[in-house]
Amino acid sequence: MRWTAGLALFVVLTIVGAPRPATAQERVLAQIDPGGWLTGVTLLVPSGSAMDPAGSEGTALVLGRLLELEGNAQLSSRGARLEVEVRRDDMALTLLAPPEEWVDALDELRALLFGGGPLPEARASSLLEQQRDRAIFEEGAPVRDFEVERARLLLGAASPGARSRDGTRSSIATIDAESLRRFRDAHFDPARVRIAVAGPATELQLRQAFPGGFEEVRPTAPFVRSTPLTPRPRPDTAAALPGDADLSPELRPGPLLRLRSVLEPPVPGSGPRAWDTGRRDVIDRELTSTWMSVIWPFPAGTSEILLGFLGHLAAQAVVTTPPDPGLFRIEFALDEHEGAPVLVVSASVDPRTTRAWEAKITGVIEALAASPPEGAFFELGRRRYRSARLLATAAPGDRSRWLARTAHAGRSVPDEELEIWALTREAVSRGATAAGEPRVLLMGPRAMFEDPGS
Amino acid sequence: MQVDSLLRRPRGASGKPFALLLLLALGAGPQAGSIEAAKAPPTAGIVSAAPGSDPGREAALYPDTVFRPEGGPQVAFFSAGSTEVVSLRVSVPLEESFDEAGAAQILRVQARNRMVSLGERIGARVDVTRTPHALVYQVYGSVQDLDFLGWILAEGLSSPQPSLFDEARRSVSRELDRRLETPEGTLSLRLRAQLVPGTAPLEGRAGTLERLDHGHVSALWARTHLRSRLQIVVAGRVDPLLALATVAELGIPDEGPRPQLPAPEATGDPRGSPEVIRHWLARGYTVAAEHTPRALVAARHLSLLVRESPGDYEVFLELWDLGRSRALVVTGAAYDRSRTAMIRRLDGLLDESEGLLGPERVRAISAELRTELRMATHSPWGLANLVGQRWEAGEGVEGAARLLDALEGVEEADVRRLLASLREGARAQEELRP
Repeated sequence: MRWTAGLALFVVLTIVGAPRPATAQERVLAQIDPGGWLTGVTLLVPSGSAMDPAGSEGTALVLGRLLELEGNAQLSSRGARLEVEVRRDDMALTLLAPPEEWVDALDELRALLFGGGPLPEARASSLLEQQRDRAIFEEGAPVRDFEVERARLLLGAASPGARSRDGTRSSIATIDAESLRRFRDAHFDPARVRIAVAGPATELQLRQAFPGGFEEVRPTAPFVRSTPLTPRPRPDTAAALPGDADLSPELRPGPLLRLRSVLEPPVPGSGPRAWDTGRRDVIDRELTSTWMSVIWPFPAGTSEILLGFLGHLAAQAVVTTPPDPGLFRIEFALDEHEGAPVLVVSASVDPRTTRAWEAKITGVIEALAASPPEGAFFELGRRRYRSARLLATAAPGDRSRWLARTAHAGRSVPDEELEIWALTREAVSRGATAAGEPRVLLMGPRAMFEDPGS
Repeated sequence: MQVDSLLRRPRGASGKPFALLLLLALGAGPQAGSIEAAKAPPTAGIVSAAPGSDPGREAALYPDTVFRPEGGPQVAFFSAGSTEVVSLRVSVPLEESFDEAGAAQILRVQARNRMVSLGERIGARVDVTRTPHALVYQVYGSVQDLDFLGWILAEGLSSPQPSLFDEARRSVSRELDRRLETPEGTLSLRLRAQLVPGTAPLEGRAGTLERLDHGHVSALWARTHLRSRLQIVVAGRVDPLLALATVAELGIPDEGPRPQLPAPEATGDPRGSPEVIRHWLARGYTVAAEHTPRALVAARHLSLLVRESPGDYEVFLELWDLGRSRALVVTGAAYDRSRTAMIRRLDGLLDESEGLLGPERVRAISAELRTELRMATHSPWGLANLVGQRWEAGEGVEGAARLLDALEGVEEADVRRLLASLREGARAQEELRP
């Protein structure tokens, strides 16, 4: 009998494994892709550089780098890697692991993040030294000043998010291993972390990794083509999508209802925007190029797919082939402020062409509202946008990061294929019309582009 | 061409494709005009692998199918992911003579310019790179655009155009100048000339670029861009036969001049001499190509040593692929005040490395390197690059998988032997003074 009991205990231990860290409070999304070779798991901590202690800017960034180094040193024997991305409002820690290793690798990572243990002092000192050297090297670099000014334009000068993410020589001097540990222990709370899994994973693995439950995001071909684990939402675990949190599973919007967010995008006044009136700031600097940012607010609830498409069409309209010699660099990005989306265009241009570029960029959304591309041009633009999204989320780590951020922002995970093909000229026009007045920032040699006295 | 005798390898086998083992056992190499299928469909159970075991860990790096039609091209298919993204990577093995150094770069620039503008039309990404062994054309995008992706590749692979020659040459010259203006760039070009004398630097040579004309570039294209020489890796979620139909006809001629290099002719070349404010020193140690795995471990070990115990100077380690051999290269930079300390460190680095080498260290480094290589499989284009680079280096389509296996087998004694041979062997050295 004793032998039998011992064997039974052994079998149970073998199946269950060692006790796992407490995970009951975690909120988890999973999108299964059995065809992948690596599993991506993102843990999104909703604290980024905006939470740096005053005077210690750079804390979140250095902590992220330290966790990445320490995590990779621990995880490499499992064939796993950790990538950490620190942004203004969050820190995304993305684990990439072979399918048979991700559960154990995640446990090791949880111990590093939530276990409360000390951080390695020597490694922290070395990283802080590197970061300080970098800050000294970049002191006065226009691109860094511009990033801070752009954040002020978006968030307001007094916002903690408008400080430097990378820190300064003096702010980094105030950071040490102990302050990094304090930041980690204050902000890394499993109950606040969003987790998303993308790639090959079995239901057994998911249950082992997340005994508190997980919600499956149905794969949608061609973005992810596979059979979902469950044919319909699991009533016991399906309460995790923030946008749906107040609804019972039966009442949560299905694909057709969600499609309406693309077909019938919010019109002006339908939802709060980040601001109502635009403005134009000019910072006079003796630079060899003008740095420019134009930011449009859109109503809360505007579809991510529609906004991405608007940004895509705007980029096509502004960036021509062959390239304009006056344009040195341009980027289009989506961001959020006050719970509402914004479209951010940042460019650096020849100062002599500043006014022309300002007019071209600020006019592009209005032009799309009045006259979106038609016929074959529209079809081509949509096809190109679809390909760009496919490539942007093809790797499991990119996909899990996107899923985690989407869920954290309180949005439902869109059916990308359905929503992209549902995009129409009319939807583009209505979406562009809903944009509020832009905020514009110009940083450069004012005398070269402004009339005297303006 | 056989299309019906697909051999399936059960996932979790020891690593070598079943089909290849069978052919070797019969004393035959891969047959002309054959298809091999090596691994089970990816949906067939990798997720069911038992935790803790190591079955089929490098399965991603073995092709599902390899087509070897008579007259080429050779095409290897890797299924990867469920996203309908596909990567097509065409490798054209290529070697330039000393006197045409830079011609391949001109081909690269011309091809890239053609491909980028086409790729932008459908949101596909393109890349054209010169590796130590080949000129590589890669395009990746949606499976639905497969025919268009094939067209982009065909445009990239097409013969160079005389009207685009001057612009491409200017672009290559600018890139070379930029490289020669940095201490790292100048040292690497000089060191390479010592390590593999008489071979053409991949970046080109200033003296040669001036003398090249469209005829040289066209001749290089004609003797290298032949169907039979192409090695194509297709990675992604795509029907292999459909992809084969796409890449089988890329407009490349079947026949051409014999792929023979013009005779080398040593000529003078302006030596880059950037102004530096630190003392720069680079040393290169030749390593046989078959010792690549242990050299990778040794390079990482030395690099960690420097990082763990840094000085008031900068030192970095690299393992260069020089075509037929490798070179372990140590580069240091120091201000006057630390120059002696840096030279002493470089002099003693190989001895220093002996003391801190142990089985645990080798195992940890090997695991780290294997992890880094495996991470390439996170995307179809990363997988295609990893596999394609080893294939064009002459290591076979399973070269990447074999490299990972070999890394796992590296032992402390192997690394010690390599370090001892480096200490005893000749070394190349170059320096730049302020």
